[in-house]
Parts: sequence; structure tokens; C-alpha cells
Amino acid sequence: MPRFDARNDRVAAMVLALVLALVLALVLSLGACVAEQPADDDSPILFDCELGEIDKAGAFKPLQDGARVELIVGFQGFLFMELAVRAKGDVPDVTRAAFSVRAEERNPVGTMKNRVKLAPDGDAMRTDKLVIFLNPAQVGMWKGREAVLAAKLQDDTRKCVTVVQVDLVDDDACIHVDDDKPICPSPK
Amino acid sequence: MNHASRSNPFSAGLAVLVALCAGLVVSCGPPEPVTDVEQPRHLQVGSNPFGAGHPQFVAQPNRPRPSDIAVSADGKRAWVPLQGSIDKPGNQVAVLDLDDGTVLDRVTTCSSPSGVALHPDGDLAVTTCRYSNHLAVIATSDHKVLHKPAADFYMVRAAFTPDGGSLWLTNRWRDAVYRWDVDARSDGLHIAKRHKPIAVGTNPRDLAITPNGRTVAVASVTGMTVSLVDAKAHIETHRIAVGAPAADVALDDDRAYVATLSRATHHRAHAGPDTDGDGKPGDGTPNINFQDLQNELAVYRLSDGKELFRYTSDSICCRDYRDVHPADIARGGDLLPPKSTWIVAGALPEQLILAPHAGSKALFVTYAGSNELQRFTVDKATGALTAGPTWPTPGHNPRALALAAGRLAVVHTLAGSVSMLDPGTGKAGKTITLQTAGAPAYPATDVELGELVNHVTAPFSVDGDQTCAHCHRDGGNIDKAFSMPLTRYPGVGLRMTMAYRAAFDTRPWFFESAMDEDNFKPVINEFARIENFCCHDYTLFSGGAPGDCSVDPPAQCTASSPYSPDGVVATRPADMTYAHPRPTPHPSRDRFFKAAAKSLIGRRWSFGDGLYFEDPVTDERLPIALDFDGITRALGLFLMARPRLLPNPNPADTTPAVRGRAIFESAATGCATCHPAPSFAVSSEVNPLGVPIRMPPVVSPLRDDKDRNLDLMAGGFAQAFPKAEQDTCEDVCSKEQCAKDPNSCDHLRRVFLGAPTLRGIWDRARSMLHHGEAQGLREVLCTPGHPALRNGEVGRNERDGVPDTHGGTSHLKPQQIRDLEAYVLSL
Repeated sequence: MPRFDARNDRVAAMVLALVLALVLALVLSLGACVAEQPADDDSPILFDCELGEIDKAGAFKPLQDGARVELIVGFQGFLFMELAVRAKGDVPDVTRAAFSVRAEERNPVGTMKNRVKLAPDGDAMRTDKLVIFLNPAQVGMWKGREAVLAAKLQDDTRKCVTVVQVDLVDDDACIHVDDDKPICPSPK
Repeated sequence: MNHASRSNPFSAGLAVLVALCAGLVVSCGPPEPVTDVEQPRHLQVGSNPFGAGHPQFVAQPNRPRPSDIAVSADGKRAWVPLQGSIDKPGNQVAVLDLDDGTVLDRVTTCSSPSGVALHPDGDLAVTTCRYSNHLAVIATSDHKVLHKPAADFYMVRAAFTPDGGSLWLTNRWRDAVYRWDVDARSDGLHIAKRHKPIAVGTNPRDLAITPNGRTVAVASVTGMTVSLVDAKAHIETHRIAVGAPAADVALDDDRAYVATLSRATHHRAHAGPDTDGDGKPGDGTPNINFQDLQNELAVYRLSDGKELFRYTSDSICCRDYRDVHPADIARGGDLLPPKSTWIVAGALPEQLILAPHAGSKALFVTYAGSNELQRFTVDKATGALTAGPTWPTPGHNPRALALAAGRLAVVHTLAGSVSMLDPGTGKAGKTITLQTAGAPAYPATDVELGELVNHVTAPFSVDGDQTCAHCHRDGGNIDKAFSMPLTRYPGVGLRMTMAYRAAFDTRPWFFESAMDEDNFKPVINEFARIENFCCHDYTLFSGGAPGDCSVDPPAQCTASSPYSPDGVVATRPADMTYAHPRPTPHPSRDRFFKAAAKSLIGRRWSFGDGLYFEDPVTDERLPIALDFDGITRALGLFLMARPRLLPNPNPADTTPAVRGRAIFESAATGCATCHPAPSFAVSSEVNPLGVPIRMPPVVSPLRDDKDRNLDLMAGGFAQAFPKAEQDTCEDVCSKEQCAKDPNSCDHLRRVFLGAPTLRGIWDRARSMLHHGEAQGLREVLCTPGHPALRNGEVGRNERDGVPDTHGGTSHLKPQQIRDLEAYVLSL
């Protein structure tokens, strides 16, 4: 039976500790890598995104909870909102998008867009203005209600989801059938 | 004793002698063996880019798509070609026992059998084949294919002369009608002579021969003409401009009865281009845009092609708020056709037959867009029609029909069935399904929902008149440019009807390239505009209707005369002063659509296999309501999923086509820059050089006499569809001038348009470019004065006098232009 002296035991213990540490580090790093890669169940990599609007200057303005979102009655009486999405992280240039509007006392409505492009916007990426149609197109069914807006951007490997609670308003009650002659409610 | 049946020994003997002599002549003539095509070839459908990788993809059932019917003289047997869809062609002809209501046999014939005709002797059936280079001749006794005579691709319909001596065939590829002199024998059809084809209108389909055999009439769907051919002289004597698709033609010895639509171009009566040929602006009809679209039957005199009668569908006038009422003289009500002609009761007159009925002569018409059948009585002396009853048919998309021993056999193309109907009562008898065993009833998927709505749209239109297929027959286009509602100057502009093919990889859609599969609502909107529905009516609720309006309509919605000129504040034009009742009892458009879906399809919700609401948070997918939005999306899904590109019979490997390809791809012409393969249109899917999807005009815009650009879009359209692009007034003029008159610079403003795909251009209407001003591909390609142009042709490759703005072609020699044409026509 081999004999080990104290010095050798200390060395062996150090080697063992080092090996354990390396193994632990390896396991942790592997774990970290696993978190960054699509798992076996194809879980997508998550990135951050937020809903907002594009202002007149073309800048993205994020929507905060409680924000007022204008309902637009436009061409041929269509009812819609103009939103945009900004995202950070490992963001695809082109993605599918799903949107939903859950207003109090109303069934959720939603739309899918099969191809949404994102372009650099400072340190983030963002979409252009996206028209989200509301159905039924009756402004009275929506205005004055609280609503939860949700958006999802997703490609084959990446995904983000964002939710914001807003107030749906119709501050501009005119119908914008043409840019130079909106039709506005009669004062009577 | 009936005098007519009394036997005359002398005449009977003479007849026998004549018959013997005739038989001798035939049997002693040159022995023409039956022929088989030497090398059978079948056109292959291209690959579908909308595949399993797409989240809305689901495999679709195979459907038989019966397209025609021929019934034996005793009315017991029917022969029905199972054409299949454009993307999934069938290859069989079904043989039906009409008494038992059974399928006796399915005869494998060729690729996409399209039409069928029975020889008058009753022993042979001939089927035409769209995708095969031959016909199929079938023995009616044992249903065996006897032989397959060589023929051009895209033979679509066939008819024998009453004496059985000639077979006439229409050909969609060559835009021609063919005559073969034939002899039917027990071993097949002996072809004695193939005459030179006779050119007819674009995309001919149905044809008919007079009982006396003297005249052949050919109806061209895309070209909107009926050609009258002297069968003996073998020449086209008249080409009748019907002004709308000629879906079918039936003949007696003196007249042609044509299933068609209104000839209006949806312009203002007295403004815009002169489209009725009266030398004055406008189309002469008071309604504009889609509201001008009617379903019609026309009667023509064979001797000179003169139109004798034209009947229309204004019988359901004024259910849509835009309808001009005959009493509304201020809006041109007096320009409407006489009320006595408002007798066409269904949408999309498709096929018709003349048949004796109850001691008189009747015309039966199928309405493919509203699942209906109507009977008319024909005045034997004049050809005038008197409306009879209209009945629903027991299946989707009734097209072909035939008389079968006193019954009507109606072919439902989408449902895949043949139903027997009583011509007196319309009562349905047996229905024979032609679906393969185990196939689910139609529609069974969300793609099929969209397909059904595309063809049978009428229930979703408030006046029951309109379908998508009115202008987009089988996905193609018709040779007509219309006034469209999205333009800045409504009622005076022009947009050429577009083919609805290869839609998946050519998005965004339409000339404006601003819409896609989820949001092309303005098109569907025209079928049922919101102004027709109480809860959307801003004349009643200027700030919007109450939130619960559709479930608890307020009193205004049920008032007997809800429309009041005093209440006009919003969407109704100022000149609209005639009162209209509500078109439906449904207070909102969504309820109207869901009710129509329930009535037509039996469901209010999608199947959920391709149309679903996807919760962004939970990823849960749920079926969507078949309301306005749901129906729009169903149509969009259908357009994406089904390319419907007819396989091209023009070879791409001929010397001219190969040379033409080199020219097309050269930097000098630049064609491939905006029309890159494989989509042959810059799109969000295909854009190898990264060029803008929408570009400034490459040809001269359409302008009026004030030089205004009539191509401009309505500003509201550009807002609702932000991909749409055009110059603002301020882009081209000073702010001060625009503030003073926002229209003052409309002659300088440009609208940006997308590049339509070139695939399938071989099958399209002759008119081309966004305004339909070019007549044929050569006018599109050539610069003004190009030597390749023929007499009377105008080179359209210029913008405001600058040549080569639509690709560099002015340097090409005439032969090179022909090469370029050959290549483009092979795409």
C-alpha cells in the first residue's frame, strides 16, 4: 500500500481542489453557455423590446404605463393606432411580429405581421411606424378604455415580448380621409 | 296521326341512298389512322415558395375541381373533367351515372383535363388538356382511352359540329380557335385535316356552335370579346367587344347569348377618360368605383354582331349608400339602364345553356359568385329575355351545367360535386361528390376559406353584386383599367386590373406596394363600406356610435328613414342627397360579415390552422372571427398559399429566348435590376441589389387636361398604409403656395410604385403598365419611335418625353426587342 506524507497530502489536496475548481468553472461556464444558446427544446434567446410611438420628428418615444394612445379614424373609416417597437440585444434585422390589444370588457384583438424590419436607432434597433388596425372599427367601442398592449418580435431563434398598459383616447375626432381636408364632427 | 311523323317511302329511300353514298365516300376516302402524340409532355407547375417553414403553412387537401360537363343524349351518363387546381392539376375524367347518382369510373387522361365534348354519334368523348400536349379520346362504351392525338398545350374547351364532321377547340396559349375535320370510328377520332388556327380574343375559353352548324362563337374571358366565326369560310367575321369578360356563350341559329358583366369602367359619367367610346369624357354611367360593377347578360345578332339586348343586375339597386337611384337626377339617375332590364339576379354569371322548357325556350344561367341558378324565358322571335326564378344551388361555385333528360346537371367547381336540379322548381335532387375517398368537405382549411370567399364573395357585399373573381378570373386579370377608390382624384384616374398570382414572394402588393396579406382592407372595404352600417355612420354619430351599438343598437339605427340630408356631416359626398334605406338589418359590418360567413360556410370562426390570433405573451393560438378583418386575412392567406401561376408553355431554351435573357440581364437594359429572378419583381422577399421597393414613375403618369397627375393616391390612404409613398405638395413647391392651394402642384408630385412581377405575363391581358395604356409587351419595351414598333403602336418606354426611363432599350435592334419579348414571355 503506498504511503503519503503530509507534504504530498497537501499537494494532492491542492491538486484536487484545483481540479474541482476547474470542473466547477467548466460546469458553470457550460451552464452559462447553455443559457446563451438555444436549448434542446428550442427555447429562443430572449432580447429586450418596448412599445412606443414615432413622434413628428421621427424619434421613438417609449410608451409608459398609463400613456394615452390616440385612436385614428382614417381612410375609408379604418380605425387604427400607430405604434413602433424598439429592441436591444441580439436583435434580428427582420422578424415576425404579433400584437394584441386587450381592452377592458372587450375580447382581445390582434394582428400578425410576417415581416417587420428593424433598423439601427442609437444603441438599439427599431421598427418604422406600424399601423395596428382595430376591429371592430367603431371608435366608440374603444375610446376611453384602458387597454393592455402587447407585442412580440420573434424569428427562428430569438424573441422579445413587451407589455404596456395605456388609455385609448380619441383626442382628434376628425376622420383623416385625405391629408388636406379631414372631416370633423359637426358642432351640432 | 302526326303529320310530322308520317312516313314517306320515297324520301326514306332517298335518305338511305344518301346515307349509303355518304358512307361510301367516307369509307373509301384516304384511310387516316388514329394518331397518338409521339412524345407526350406535361407542363410542370413551379415550386411554391410558401412552404412548410412558414408559420401559417398547412398541407392542403387535393380537390377535383370539376370544370365542364357533357351529358349523353339519353341523359343518363355524364362526363366531367377533373381539372384540379392550377397548382395541383388533376388527371382524370369522371364518368357519372346521373340516375343512380354514382361515379361509375375515373378515367386517367392527361394533365389538367379542362373541357369535354361528346361526339354526336355518342361513341366517343374528347377531353382537352391544359398541361399536356395532346387530347384524350375516350370510348364511351367501356371508358377506355383509345388514343391521344397531339395538340398544343392549353386546349381548354371542345365542341363538335352537329354533323360530327368537325371538332372545334379553343386554345388559351395561342389565343385561337382550332378546327379539325374528323371522322369518328370505333377505334377513335380520325383527323382528316387540321385547319390553320383562327386568332380570337385573349384567353378564349367557352365556345358554341349554332344548331345549323354555320357559326362558331368563341368567348374570351380576359380579352372581353366574342368572336363569330363562319364555320364554312373558316374566318372570323365579327369580333364583338363585350366590354367585360365573356364567361360563356350560347347560340341559337340567329343570336348569341353571353354571360358577362357591366361594360362600365367605374369612372364618372362625364369626366375622366372616354371609356365608352362616345367621344366624350367618362364612361357614361352614373355610379363610380366598385359600385358601378354589375352582372349582365347580353344578346347579339349573329349576322352582324349587333347588340340586341343587355340585361343588368341593378334590380338590387340602392342597397349600398353609394348607389345612384333612378330618381336621383342630380347624380345621373337618368343615365341608368331602363328598369325593365334589371333582371339579372345573381353574381358572376358563369355558364349558360339554351333548352326547351314547358313549351317555350329557356336560358339557364349559373352564378358562380353567389351559388345561384336563374331561369329566363327567351322570346323566340326577338331573343329578348324575361326573368324567371332564381334558386340557390346545393354547392359552392356553380359553373358548368347541362340538360340531362329534363333535369339540370350543375357542376360545383369548388365543392367538387354535380347536383341534379329540377328546371321547373329548382328543387335539388341527387348530389354526386367527386371528392376522393376520405377527403373532407369543402372548405376544410383556412386557405380554403379564403379561396371560397375569393370566388363566392357576393354574400359579403351589401348589394350582393360583387366578387373578387369578377376582375381576377382564376387569378389572372382582365383587359380593363378602372377608376379605383384609393386615388386622389376619384372617378377619373386609371389603374389596370392586376393578376393575383405569385403573391407570396412579391409582397408588398398592388401597384402602390403598400399592402400585404393582413391589411389589404381597402379592397374588401369596397364590397361593404362602413357607411352602410348604422354603428359606423357618422351622419348619425359624428363622434362615433355608442360602444354597445352593435349589440344594442340605438333608436337611430332602426328609424324607418335613418338617412337625413340635414344630418350629413361626414363621409357622404356633399352631392349625395337621395335617401337610402339600410342595406341589411345588421347594425355593424362585422356582424354582417359573420352572418354571411355562417350562412355561406356554416361557421363564424376560422379553423385556426393558418388564421389565428397569437397571444404575444402566452404564444397561444386561437381561431379568429370571420368578420371583416378575418375575411380579409383569409383572402390574404389564400393569396400567399396558392401561387396559381399557370405553367408556361413558352420554352425558355429557344435561341431567341436565350439571347433575350442575356439582354434582360445586361447592365445596358437594367431589366433584372427591378425584375430580378426568381420573383421577377423587387419585393420584400427578393431584392438582390437592394434597390428601393417603390420607385418614382418609370413611364409618363396619367394626366388630365389640366396636367394634374391622376396617378396620385388619396392622402388618407398614404396615412393608413405608411409604406405608400408620394411627394407632398411641400416636396415640390413652396409652403406658401401649398398653403394657398394644396392641389396647385399636383402636376409636379410623383407617386412611387412597385415593380409588378413578370412571371405569367404570357397569359395576361394585352393592356399593360399601371394605367393600362400600353397595348402589348412591345409597347412596354420600346421607346417612342423605336424601329421595332409596328404601325399604330406607341412606345411607352419614356417619362415625359425622356426615353429609356423604363430600362435601356432604345439602342436595341428590332431583332433584339423580339428576343427580349421571347424571354419575358417565357417567364
